[in-house]
Amino acid sequence: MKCAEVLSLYHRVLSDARDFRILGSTEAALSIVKAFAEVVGNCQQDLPMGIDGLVRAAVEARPTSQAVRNLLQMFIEKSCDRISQQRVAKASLNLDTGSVVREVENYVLSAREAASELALKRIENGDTILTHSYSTTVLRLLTKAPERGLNISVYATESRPGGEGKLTASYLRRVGIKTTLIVDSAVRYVMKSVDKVFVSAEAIAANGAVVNKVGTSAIALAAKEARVRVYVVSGLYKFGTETVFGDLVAIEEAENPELVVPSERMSELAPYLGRNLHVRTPLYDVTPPEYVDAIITERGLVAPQLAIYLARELMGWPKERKTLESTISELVSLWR
Amino acid sequence: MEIAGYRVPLEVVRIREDIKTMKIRGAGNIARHGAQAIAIAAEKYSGKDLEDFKKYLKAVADYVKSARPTAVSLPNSISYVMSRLEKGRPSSVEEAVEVVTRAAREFIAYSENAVKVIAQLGAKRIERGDTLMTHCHSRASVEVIITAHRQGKVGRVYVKETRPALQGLITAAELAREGVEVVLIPDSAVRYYMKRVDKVVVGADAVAANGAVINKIGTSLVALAAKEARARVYVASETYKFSPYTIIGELVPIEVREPTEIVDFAWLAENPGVEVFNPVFDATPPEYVDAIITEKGVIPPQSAMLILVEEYGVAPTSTEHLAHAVDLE
Repeated sequence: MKCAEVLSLYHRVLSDARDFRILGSTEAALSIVKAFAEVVGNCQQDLPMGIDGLVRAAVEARPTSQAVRNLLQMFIEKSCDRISQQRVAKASLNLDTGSVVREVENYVLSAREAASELALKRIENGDTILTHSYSTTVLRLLTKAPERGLNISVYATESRPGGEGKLTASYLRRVGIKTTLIVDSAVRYVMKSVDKVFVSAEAIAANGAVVNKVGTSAIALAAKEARVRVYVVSGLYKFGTETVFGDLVAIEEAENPELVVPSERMSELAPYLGRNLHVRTPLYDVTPPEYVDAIITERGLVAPQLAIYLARELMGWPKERKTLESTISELVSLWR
Repeated sequence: MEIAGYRVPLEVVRIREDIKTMKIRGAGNIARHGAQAIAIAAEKYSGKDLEDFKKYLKAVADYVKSARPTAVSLPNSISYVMSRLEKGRPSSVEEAVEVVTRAAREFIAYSENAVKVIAQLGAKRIERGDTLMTHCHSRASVEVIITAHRQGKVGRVYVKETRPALQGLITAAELAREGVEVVLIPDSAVRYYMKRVDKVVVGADAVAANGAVINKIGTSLVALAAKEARARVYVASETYKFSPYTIIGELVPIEVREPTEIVDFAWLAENPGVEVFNPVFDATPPEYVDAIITEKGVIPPQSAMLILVEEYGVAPTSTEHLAHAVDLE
């Protein structure tokens, strides 16, 4: 493929991730890494100049997602390792990007598999489980339950704005799980009959706070009130490495009336929109660690405050600070 | 339409249908239309037999009451009218019709005035620069907010969309029309924005004897999030929404409506196995409510009982109401 072609494909993937045509954060991050690898493989000559901008565009497409940052960084680091091992003349530089992508993908899939396998141990026969939004990790977990002879039923919230909970409901039903769809407002109403809440994360902050689809924190609050356990199932690649250095996780807050107001009712609000009436739709919210019973990762089930302990290796902290930016410059210098 | 051998006037059938399909919404509005329906039924009666008239009106009353099981304002407004027919001891059908239509007018006037009083009392609870949040659409809470806004006290109002029927859009438009600074948000963002909220103002569909507030699904989650963030929760409610039945142990039935309010037919057809659970109301425990603002005054929710005793003559020991409970079956 030509460089121009893969570049336009890359930007299409970014806009799919941005506009949630690719829903789950892991799915989105993997698609971005794959498209990024194609660019690296096909645009060898021009790459060092533009690589910064390419990575920045990916991060901006899904600013809350730590998976995008971390998996891109993982790809670049692994690429650097390969290049520095080659010890050949730079003119004949030959990086098998496909195999690096497979390494990243294998890590992600095995992490997801391991995390869902651990989480499965927390599901008991007869459990009623509530989940929010659409997460491939949680779907993987819930699908395993009937396979292991565990009879479960699931409440799936609609998950507005976006409404991707409907996809969760129809997926779960297709794999034979008794599923009930509810509006987001009905969460406290049904919580009394729920045994456990399982959600995933868009990011996990250094203090163990969980950033996930908006509505998660209200669910966790209602769960705490009803003494229902809340589990976050997530690969460590969603750990917000920057938050260790004080950065706040960016929460996207769209101002997009179409996300809330159906087109046939827009005329009721049209005279005031943009004047004294605004429609605000945050896409994520932050669930404080004290509302989360455990974060279940590929390396074990821990208190949310301890996720940082498991994530140390991934980010090299506290020995050295490996940032996305420093990894990029390493790649660029190796390339030259 | 025939009920117990009586023909129900078309206008009455239509009112009941509009209440059932939520074309007529809001507990106060439902109550006023309920009273109106009884007055219409009385005026349309063509016989001469007083006892027959009473039986006929009772049949119509039961028929109209059955439109929405949770809306206690409806049986209360109808009882208001029907009890005056009982107490008025009319000697002819003409007199009886007169008693009934007067009672209905009285109730409607009382109800409209009640909202004005609530607006005045409620506005006093709002301080300059307050950020408010509201859920669903309630005449009483909209009036409280508008009154406070005219007094220059309202900074900004977060209005929740209120799925599935999106009544929040009506609230947003009504407040915006008055010049209030409005931010419309999805229901899922309730906790996200609660940090910025000083006071929550919501309406009620029913208030139980223990002070629990039955209101649109999601209200209890708003109240919980408010408590967590130490925002005050005010419920604006006329006293005819207080449920006399709860005092004799009745639970307030929570209406469950059609799945198609949440997903469309096409989605249901594609996903036949998925259950869609659509409860319309939830119960907010009294400990999450700071005060109920009624036309009789601002009261702590736990003293809802006082209103029931004073206003509706309900006493816990009243055997009359035990008889009524049996009657409900």
